[in-house]
Amino acid sequence: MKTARKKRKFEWGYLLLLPGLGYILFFLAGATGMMIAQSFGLFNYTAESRFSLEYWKGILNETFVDDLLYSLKIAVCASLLCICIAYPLALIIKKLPGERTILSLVKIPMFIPALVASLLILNIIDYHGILNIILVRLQIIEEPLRLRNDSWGVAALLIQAWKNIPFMLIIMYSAVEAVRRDVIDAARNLGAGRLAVFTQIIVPLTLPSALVSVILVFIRVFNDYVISKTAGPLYPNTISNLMHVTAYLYNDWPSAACIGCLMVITAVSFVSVYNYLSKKLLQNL
Amino acid sequence: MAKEFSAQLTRKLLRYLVPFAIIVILVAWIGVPMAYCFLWSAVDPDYPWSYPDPLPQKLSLFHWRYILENTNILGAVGSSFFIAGCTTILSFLLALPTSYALGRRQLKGTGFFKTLMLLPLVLPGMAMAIFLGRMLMKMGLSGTYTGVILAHTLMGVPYMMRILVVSFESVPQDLVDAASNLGARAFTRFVEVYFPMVLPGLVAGSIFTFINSMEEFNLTFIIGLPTVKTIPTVLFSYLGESFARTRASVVSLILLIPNLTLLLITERFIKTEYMGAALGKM
Repeated sequence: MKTARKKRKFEWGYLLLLPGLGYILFFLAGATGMMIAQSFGLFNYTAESRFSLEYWKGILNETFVDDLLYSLKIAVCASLLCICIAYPLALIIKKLPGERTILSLVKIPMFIPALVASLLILNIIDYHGILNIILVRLQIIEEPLRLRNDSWGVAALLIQAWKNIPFMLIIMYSAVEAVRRDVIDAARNLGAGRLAVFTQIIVPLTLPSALVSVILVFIRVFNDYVISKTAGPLYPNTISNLMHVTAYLYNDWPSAACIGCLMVITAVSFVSVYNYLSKKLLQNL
Repeated sequence: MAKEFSAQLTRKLLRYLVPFAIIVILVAWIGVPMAYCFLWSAVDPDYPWSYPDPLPQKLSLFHWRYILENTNILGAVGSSFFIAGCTTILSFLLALPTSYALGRRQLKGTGFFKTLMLLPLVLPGMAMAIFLGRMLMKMGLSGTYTGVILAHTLMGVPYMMRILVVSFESVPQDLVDAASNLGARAFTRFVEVYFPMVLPGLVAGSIFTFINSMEEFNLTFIIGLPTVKTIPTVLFSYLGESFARTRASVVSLILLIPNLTLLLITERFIKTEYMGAALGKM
C-alpha cells in the first residue's frame, strides 16, 4: 500500500514538469529542427525544396569568417573588460557604507534595453558628443574622435561594457556577500592576515561565480544583434547580422540556416571548452 | 599621538569618500547619458545642435509632438503593455507547477532539468527568432499577437522558473511538516504555506518577465512585423534602418519611462539574491 502510493506520487512529480519544460522544449525543438532541416534545403521558401548539401559547402567564405571573428573578438574583449572592472568593484563595495544606494543605482542599466543603451552611449561618444568636447577642451586630442561605426568596434565594445558591467557587478556582489562571516572570523582567529583571508578564502569562494559571469557576458555579447548593428563597424559585423541579412535581404534561407547552426555550434563548443578549463582551474586551486 | 589621530581621520575620510565617489561616478554613468537623451529629444529643428556646442541653442517640444501626432507610437505602447502583460501571466501559469516540482520534490535529474530550462536564454537570440518565426509561420501565427506572446513566453518562462525554484527551495521544510501535522491537505498547504513564502520571488519574477518582454526586440522584429509593432521595433526604425537621433531619443524615453518607473516602485521587492539567482549560478 505504502509503496504504491509512493510510486504514484513520483510520477505525478514528473507530470508537473510538463507545463514549463514541455513548453520550452516544444518550441526550441521546433525552431532547432526547422533550422537544421532548412540548412539541408528542406522547407525552402524561395526555391524548390529538396535535400542537398550544397548550402553547407558554400558557407565557409570570407564574409562568414570575418564576421565570426568579429563576434568572437567583441565577446572576448567585452567579457574580459567587464570582469576586470566588476570583480574588484564588487569586493570594494562590500567593504563600504552606502552599499544599498550603490546597488540600487547599479540595477538601473540592467533595465535599459540594448537599443536604448546603444543610443544613450552614442550620444556621448559621437563626433559632437560630450566626451569629444571635453577631450578637445582639455587639449588631449585636437580633432574629435570618430568612434561610431569605427572599423575596430570600439563603440560597440563601450556600449557592451556600459550595459554588462552592472550585470556582472550584481552577480559578483551576491557571490561576495555569500562568503560567510564566520569563515573569515575563523581564519582570522587562526592567525590569518588580511592578505591571507583575501587570497585563501574570498578569492577561492568567489572565483566560480566570476568564471560563470564571464561566460554569461560572453554569450550575451556573442549573440548580440542590435548593438553592433547600430554602433558597430559596417563591414565585419556580427554573425547574427550576417544571418539576418542572408535570410531577409538575399532571401537565401538555407544558407542563413547553415549560419545559425554554425553559430550555435560555435557558442556551445566555446562554452564547453571554457567549462572544462574552469573546472580544471577550480580543482587545482 | 597626533600622527595616530591623523591616520584615523584619513581612514574615516576614505571610508566615506570612496563610496561617495563611487555613487557620484555611477550617477554620472547613468545620469549624463539620460540627460543627453532628454536634451536631444528636445532640440528645436530650426536651431540644429552640432559640434562644438556643448548644449543645444534652443529647446522645444517639436519632436515629441511630431512623434505623438504623426506616428502610431501610442498604439505601439499599448501593444507593448498588452504583450508584456499576457506574457507575464502565461509564464507564471506555466512556470508555477514546474518550479514547485523542481524546487520541492527530489526528482531524479533535477540538476539536468534546471540546466535544460536555461537553454532559451543561452541560444543565439537572432537564430532562435528567425527559425521560431518560420515555425510559427507554419502554424499560421506569424504576425499575430498570439505568435508574439507565445515567443515572448519562451524567453519569460526561464526567468520566472529560475527565481521561483530558488524561492520554493528556500521554504523551510519544518513549516510544511507542521502544516501537514496540523492536518493541512495539499491544496491548503500550497495556499497557506508555500504561496505567502514564494510571493516575493513571484513579484520579482513577474517584474523580470514583464520588463524582459517590454524590451524584447529580436522576436517581435522577426515574428511580429509588419502587423504587431512594439516600442523597440519603432525605436529600431529610427536607429538601425535610418538614423534619426532626435526621434530615436523621444522613442527611447517613451520606452524607458514605464520600465524605470516600474523598477522604482518595485525596487524593494527585487532582492539582490533574486537578481543573482535569475542571472548567475547556472
